[in-house]
Amino acid sequence: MRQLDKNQELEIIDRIRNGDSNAYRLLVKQYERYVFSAAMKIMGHPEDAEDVAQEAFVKAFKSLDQFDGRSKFSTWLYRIAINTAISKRRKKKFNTHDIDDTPVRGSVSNANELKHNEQKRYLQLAFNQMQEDDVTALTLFYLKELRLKEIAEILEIEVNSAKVRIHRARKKLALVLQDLLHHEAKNLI
Amino acid sequence: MEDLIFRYLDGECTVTEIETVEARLETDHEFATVFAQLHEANELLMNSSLDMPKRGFANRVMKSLQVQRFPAIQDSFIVKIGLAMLLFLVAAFTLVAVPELGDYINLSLPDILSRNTIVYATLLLFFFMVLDWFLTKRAAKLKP
Repeated sequence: MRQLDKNQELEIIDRIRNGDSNAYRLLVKQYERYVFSAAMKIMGHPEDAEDVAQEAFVKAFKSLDQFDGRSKFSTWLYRIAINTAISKRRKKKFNTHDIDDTPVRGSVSNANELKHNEQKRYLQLAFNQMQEDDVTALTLFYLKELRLKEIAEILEIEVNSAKVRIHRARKKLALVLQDLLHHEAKNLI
Repeated sequence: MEDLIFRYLDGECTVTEIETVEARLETDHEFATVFAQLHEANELLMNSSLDMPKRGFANRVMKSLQVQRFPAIQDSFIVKIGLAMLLFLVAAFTLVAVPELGDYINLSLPDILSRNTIVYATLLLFFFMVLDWFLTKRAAKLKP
């Protein structure tokens, strides 16, 4: 799907506010992958991630009147999605799904895909062991389209604090991955 | 040390810093170990493509909006007006059916009729027609 620019998004939002709620589908299509991916990293399971993503889109629609257009719609939407995911994750306390049970979408057609899925599983395993603040920071940092200023806005912290948080989270992830690798190696022996 | 490595991985280093990193990778074992760890984590995240929700996700969102919007209107507005109408009708019919009750509450049927009842009834009817038109229009707009 073609990327919408900020003006197009504002036009769509105006249409929705004027009663054309069908136009919201365009925004859902535009951001479904991003919102779902962010939710997936925090929740660790596709079913939960989909619930979170759906709830986030519904919440955003209901409070569209509160969106003042000063920030990008995506920034505002991600904040809703992240807050929804964090609150769900806290409610669940622990991720009760075993990561090995996590279904991998799509069929495994070749070695590259298998490797890719294995990497994803490995990464998710690491995320499940990390605190949600760190997972959130990393998720936003690697969503690719977000700048540091926007990440800070979503996390509702200063840009410098966001930078520190991302830095800390990247270090933690490296340590957790190292630990996982160590365990895996031990299990193999 | 990590800060320098992160800036190197993010492509934010100056040329001098790039040279420093590459030189240290050759000579500094500890630096090289930390670099390898951070690099691996970074690669893993960089390569993690966006996940896709199940097919028809947008439809499900739009459907759930439809389900959630209508009860919201009904709860907050229509039901209250409906209840008010019901109470009004019950009171009016009670007074008509049991005229003695009018004496009891010091309000007789002729009193009611004498107070421009027809004008009020017409106004009320007009109000409900406008309300009906407004709600129908609003419901049509909200329907995804």
